[in-house]
Amino acid sequence: MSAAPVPAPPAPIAVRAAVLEDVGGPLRVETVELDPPGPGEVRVRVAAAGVCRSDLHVLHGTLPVPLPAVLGHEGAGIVESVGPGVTRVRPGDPVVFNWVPGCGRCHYCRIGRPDLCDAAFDMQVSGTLPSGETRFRLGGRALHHFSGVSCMAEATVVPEAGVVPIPPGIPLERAALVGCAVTTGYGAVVHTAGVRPGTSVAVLGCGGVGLNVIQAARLAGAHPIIAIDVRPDKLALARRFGATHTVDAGRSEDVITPVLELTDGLGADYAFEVIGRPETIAAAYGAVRKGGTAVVVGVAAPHEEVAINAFSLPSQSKVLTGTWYGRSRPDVDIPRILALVQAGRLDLDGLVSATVPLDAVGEALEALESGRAVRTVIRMGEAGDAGEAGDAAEGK
Amino acid sequence: MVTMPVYRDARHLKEIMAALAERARFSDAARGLRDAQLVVAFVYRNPDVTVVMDGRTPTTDGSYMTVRFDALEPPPDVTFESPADVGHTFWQGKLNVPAALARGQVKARGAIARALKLLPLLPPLYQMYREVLVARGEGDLLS
Repeated sequence: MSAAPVPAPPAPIAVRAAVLEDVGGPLRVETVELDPPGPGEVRVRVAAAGVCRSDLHVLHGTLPVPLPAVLGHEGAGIVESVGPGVTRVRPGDPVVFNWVPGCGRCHYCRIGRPDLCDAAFDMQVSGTLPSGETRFRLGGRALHHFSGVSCMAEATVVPEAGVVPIPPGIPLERAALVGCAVTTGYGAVVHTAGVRPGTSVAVLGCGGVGLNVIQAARLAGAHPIIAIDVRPDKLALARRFGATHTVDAGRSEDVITPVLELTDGLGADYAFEVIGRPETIAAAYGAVRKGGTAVVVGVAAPHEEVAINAFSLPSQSKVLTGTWYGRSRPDVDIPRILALVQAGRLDLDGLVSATVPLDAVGEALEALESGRAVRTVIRMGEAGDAGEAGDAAEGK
Repeated sequence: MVTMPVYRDARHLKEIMAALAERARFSDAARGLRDAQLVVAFVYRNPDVTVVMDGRTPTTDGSYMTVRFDALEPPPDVTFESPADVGHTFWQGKLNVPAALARGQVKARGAIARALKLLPLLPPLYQMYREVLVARGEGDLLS
């Protein structure tokens, strides 16, 4: 009786990925080496990745993360292989990435706030997977992970909690957007603010996340829904997503007065800042009524500070809060959101400005920065097939 | 809702404020400024214009104040900074100043309490501002 053959250890594979070497760019598409998944990790063949402003923040250094790194945090794909101990997904499962993979053990996960998970935050700051290791290499150098996802690549390795299985049959190019923009906007309305029917909402910033705040506010029964942006084309889009009124902030710097005029002089019940600038955060706070709630969704640079009137804090009893990933529970919210999409209650198609191959990621970021794009979706595999196992190791 | 800026440009805003100052320099409000020995600056944005109402520097014609643009001279005791459109609302007497401060529409620095004491003297200036716009044929800017 002979011993069972020992399976050969999985080999690294070569994949093309968007690599940022240093702040300021350039962002280059390189063929990199991707290790097999370790314990508790999952390797995913990426189908599509959305281009989000947070990627742009990394490029500009306003969101400081360890570099060099493979960018991308909003995407979807098919599980390719799983490491030891993985139980929630199997090869072949369609998944959406979750860029705040709660550890399930820290204080915040235990109190039901995985959006604040300490381990997930540490992972984002360190640019590694929870093991402290990275799975990407370029020329023998380790490449960091971005938010534990790095899905601007033909394949990636993420923690098990970094994927959320979704029902088969949902187009992954659309499901990708639920990985960040949709869940963040939806969660800000549903979880953070708890918008109720008949309440008034102001939304400052009508990009990919802002439009999802608007459509979630419509879903919640808010009225009026006041969209504010400097770009008329975004305001037109905001109307399609459910805004009842629009304010062109490019024509007048004062956006508070129009909100007052549309809310009987009271101010909005809820204001959402979806830009990430101190001035607009202060404006969102100023635009809500006494006792109202201003929710900061946009991500400002870590050194920025907001000035608000101190007397108004006690005398007007407003709530100024923030939301990270929409204060969501991705394993619950992502399937729920996709069900709403399938039921025609939430629109994903309207968010997509363009679909491009990975090689066009640089142009996609430029389009986002210039305001031309809401969401560009990168469809993987158009610029060539992924390398086979061992290619990178052989230096091909 | 599309909002147009009230003032076409900095020159437009200065012309209106200069006309207001001309009408107001012998007013009770200006006398209050002189009695309080105050220099009040309005720093407007979009268009960017600084208006300094000086009740401290003696005048040669017996008027109570001097108005200068775009220089913080003499150093102001109090500064109100806001979008110019909010200033337009203020000069029409339609701005709730404490509420605007709380909302951050107006940011105030310096001797706020001394300046706020002058608020009761201001209504005649609001009327003068409206008269200025009407006289210029720009009554459509009034709300």
